[in-house]
Amino acid sequence: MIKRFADIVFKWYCRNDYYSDIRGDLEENYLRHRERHSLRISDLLYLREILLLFRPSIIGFNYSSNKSAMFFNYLKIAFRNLKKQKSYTSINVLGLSTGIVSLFFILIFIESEFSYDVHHQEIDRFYRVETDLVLNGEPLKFSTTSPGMRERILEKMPEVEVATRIVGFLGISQNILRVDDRSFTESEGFLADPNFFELFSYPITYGDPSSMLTNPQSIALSQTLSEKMFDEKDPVGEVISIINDYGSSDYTITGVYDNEEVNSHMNPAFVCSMNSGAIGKYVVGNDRLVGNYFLFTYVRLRPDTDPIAAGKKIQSSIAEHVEKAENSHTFEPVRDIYLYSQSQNESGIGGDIRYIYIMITIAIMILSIACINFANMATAQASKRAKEIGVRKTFGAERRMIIAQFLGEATVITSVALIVSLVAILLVAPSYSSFTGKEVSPTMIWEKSGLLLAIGFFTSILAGSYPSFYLASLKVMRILAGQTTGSSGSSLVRKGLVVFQFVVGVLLIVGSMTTIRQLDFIQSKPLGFTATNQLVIPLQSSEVISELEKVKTAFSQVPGVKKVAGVSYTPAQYVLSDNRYKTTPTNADKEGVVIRQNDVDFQLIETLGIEVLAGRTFDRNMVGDLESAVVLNEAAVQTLGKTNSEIVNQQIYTEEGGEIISYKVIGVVADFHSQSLHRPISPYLFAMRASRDVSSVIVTIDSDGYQAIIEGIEAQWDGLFPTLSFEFHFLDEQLKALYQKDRKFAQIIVLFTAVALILCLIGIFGLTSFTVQQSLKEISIRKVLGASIRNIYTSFAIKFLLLVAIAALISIPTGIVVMNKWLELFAYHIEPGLTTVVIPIFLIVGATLAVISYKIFFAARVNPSVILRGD
Amino acid sequence: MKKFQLGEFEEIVLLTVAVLDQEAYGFGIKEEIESRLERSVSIGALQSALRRMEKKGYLTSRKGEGSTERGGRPKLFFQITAYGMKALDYNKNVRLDLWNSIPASVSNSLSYD
Repeated sequence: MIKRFADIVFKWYCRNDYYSDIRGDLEENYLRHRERHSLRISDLLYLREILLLFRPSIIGFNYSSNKSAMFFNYLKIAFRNLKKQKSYTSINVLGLSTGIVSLFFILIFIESEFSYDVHHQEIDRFYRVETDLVLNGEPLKFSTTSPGMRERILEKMPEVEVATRIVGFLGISQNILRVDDRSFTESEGFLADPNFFELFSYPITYGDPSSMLTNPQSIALSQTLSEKMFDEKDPVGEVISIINDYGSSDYTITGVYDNEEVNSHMNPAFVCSMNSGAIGKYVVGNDRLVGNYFLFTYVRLRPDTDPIAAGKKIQSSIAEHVEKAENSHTFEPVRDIYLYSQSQNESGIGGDIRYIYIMITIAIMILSIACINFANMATAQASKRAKEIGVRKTFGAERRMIIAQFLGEATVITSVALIVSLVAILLVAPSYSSFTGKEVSPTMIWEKSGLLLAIGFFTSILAGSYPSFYLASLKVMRILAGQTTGSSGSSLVRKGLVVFQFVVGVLLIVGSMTTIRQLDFIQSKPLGFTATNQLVIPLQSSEVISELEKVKTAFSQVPGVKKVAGVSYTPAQYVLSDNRYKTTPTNADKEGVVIRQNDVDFQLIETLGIEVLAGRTFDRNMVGDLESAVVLNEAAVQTLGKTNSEIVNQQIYTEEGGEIISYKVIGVVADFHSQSLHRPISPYLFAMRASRDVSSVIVTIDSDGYQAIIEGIEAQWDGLFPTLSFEFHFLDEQLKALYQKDRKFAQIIVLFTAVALILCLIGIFGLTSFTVQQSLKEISIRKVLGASIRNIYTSFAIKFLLLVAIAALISIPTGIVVMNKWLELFAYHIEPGLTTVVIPIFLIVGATLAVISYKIFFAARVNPSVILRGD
Repeated sequence: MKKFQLGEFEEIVLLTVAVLDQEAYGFGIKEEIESRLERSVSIGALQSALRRMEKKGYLTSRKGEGSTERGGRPKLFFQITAYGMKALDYNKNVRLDLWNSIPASVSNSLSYD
């Protein structure tokens, strides 16, 4: 098999006069090898000889064959044609390379999006236990479980080979890591069981992964963090302190794992041993199987386990322990988390498979526009090339040779386009890297050259096949008799392709307009609270929180500060805390409705400027407000089945740690968007507790001279806590960050839409120039017979506008469908009217008219005598 | 005097052709070099050397008979020309010259056995 293939290759490249002798030697050599080696080895050795024979002195193409001789002729003609028609060539090369470059970047982007978590060992058996709940009649999916899950499944389910628990520092947005007297702030820190690295495989820089997290108070650092804190030094054995709302505690560094080479849905900056104080202790001592869904449980299942059946089995293992459990569980493949997870409390910002689908669609659209341009112009050229084909055919060219010729020409153009693309890719790569945050180095582009070639090959086939088959099918008699205008069939296909282009163009504009408008909508939608001129100042450590009153007083003294109030979740944060509430004390734990709870401080509602609908807000002078008062939002009141006036001054009940606790509802506020607009408003309450369990303060400041105000606040902070560095955020910017993914996506869509539109216009420009070129005589004769420029213009423009009209008919309904699909991703979205579809069509019509007018006016102004002189 | 262009590998091939006299054809030469020099020779390297030297005029070739071993393909026998002999001779002398110019001190102090 290999030998036969090698023979064909050899015969193809070997000089004819050397062939039979060398072949003889090869045969003899092969026989000798067969005496000593197996067939396979001999074949491979034979192939090696053939490869080594491929050298200039042996290679010689067979000139005696007519076909190969014509090959060179085709190549020559192709180059001559390309040189002769410079504008045609450059339009094609420009179009194709734009298509190729776009496709290339989209493909490498997608490739890297799919590269998440593939580095973990046994990734096929690596799962996360997720929790499904139905809250207030709405299904909810959590990526976390109750703390007792790991022990339970290890005990009851033999299918589970390894299981590890991972928990974040609950309710803490930042940890301060201190070594000697230097401090570093990190948000992505976790505690994990000692077998964490058994499941999560990272390249290890220092330390032994199997024992890194065994000892109490041990910590493993990521490469990034280790380099930040210790440069290139081996930090193992060093002691660092972690300071956060829980207080300060010391950890010993036991290792460094390399997080930079790999992509993972979970990218911890550091991992501490679960055998550590505070949360660690709480987790280890907590065996709840229901509720407290705050930690991640990752497992490796035994080979050949069906994850779906195993997931169902969790229920029965829990049911033995808890009667009537509210939660059900599934095993979700870790490989799919990054792109597919829809869970509420994901550990990092994930990708989104829907965006990937959209990007693939755009890439295909762009490349197809480029190919259509190519095909259209090539067939339009038919009349120019028709005589050549006629003569070739008369002299005995076969149909397939003509096809080969024109496919070859397509390949030549694509090759040129490929070279142009390569240069363009190298130029664009840095901006791509900074935009996506994914690095692209020239070596990586070089490694991907295979992909580039594949795209090129595919493109030339796609772009070249229709014109070549069409040109090859021309009838000799008709061509040579002078009937050069293409058959009506071909012009129909051409018109069809143009219509298709218009449709794609309109759809892309519709898409990007909707995207932009939706993002505008999100950014300008009244959120129900004041987001501007609000500073969020994280309180960082328990030391600061215990001094809350002092902090507030100090900040209030700064001129320009209007209001100050503490809060545990700012409106930009996901509210992790919830509980079941009921208006009667019995069975609150089972029958209550779930309400998210945010522990706040006096004045918070006023600071945020949330509208009060009934009752009042927390008042320092009212006895009892500090003990058990809550303010509900309207949605909570409705789920509790009451009206605003009914609920005020009533008690609501919940269960905390097995005790029924009652809260007095003192007021109702209007619904406000406490989460991103991807999610609907949920039942929500502000609670006031004696402990004042807050994590940040929100400070309303004057819009004038905010620089000075912030400096004033910082000075106050530094006076109170000289060891902690002051930090602040603007609330509106934090809110903006919620839509970062959507904004990126919108930018991508707009960018590629622009690319696609330019390609469309290039295509139309090419086609018009060609049609006009062909009709110069017609235009001249019309002029001679008295037609005005306007008459001529209308007669041409109508042809194109008709195509646009057909395209509009197709794209209006499709556009509306596509748009609504995308908007469904947002719980709150614009209602796209007909204008969103009509405006793009006007845009396209306008652009087309501009392009064709330019061409036609020039043609129409030519003096007829110049054109008609020769006839 | 005109220089003779002869690479190291070409020289070996040319010598082997001379050694084999009337029996020098592609595969035979390959086998001979492989057994004498204990190095493997690819057909590609050998054939391109042979053709190159034929063009330079160091070698002539004649068609022989086919054999079943070779799938019925004729052998192409090579023979060294007088010009080829001259090239070999020139090369040999250049080397001898160099050998003779090595100072005694070097050859004595660096003897190996």
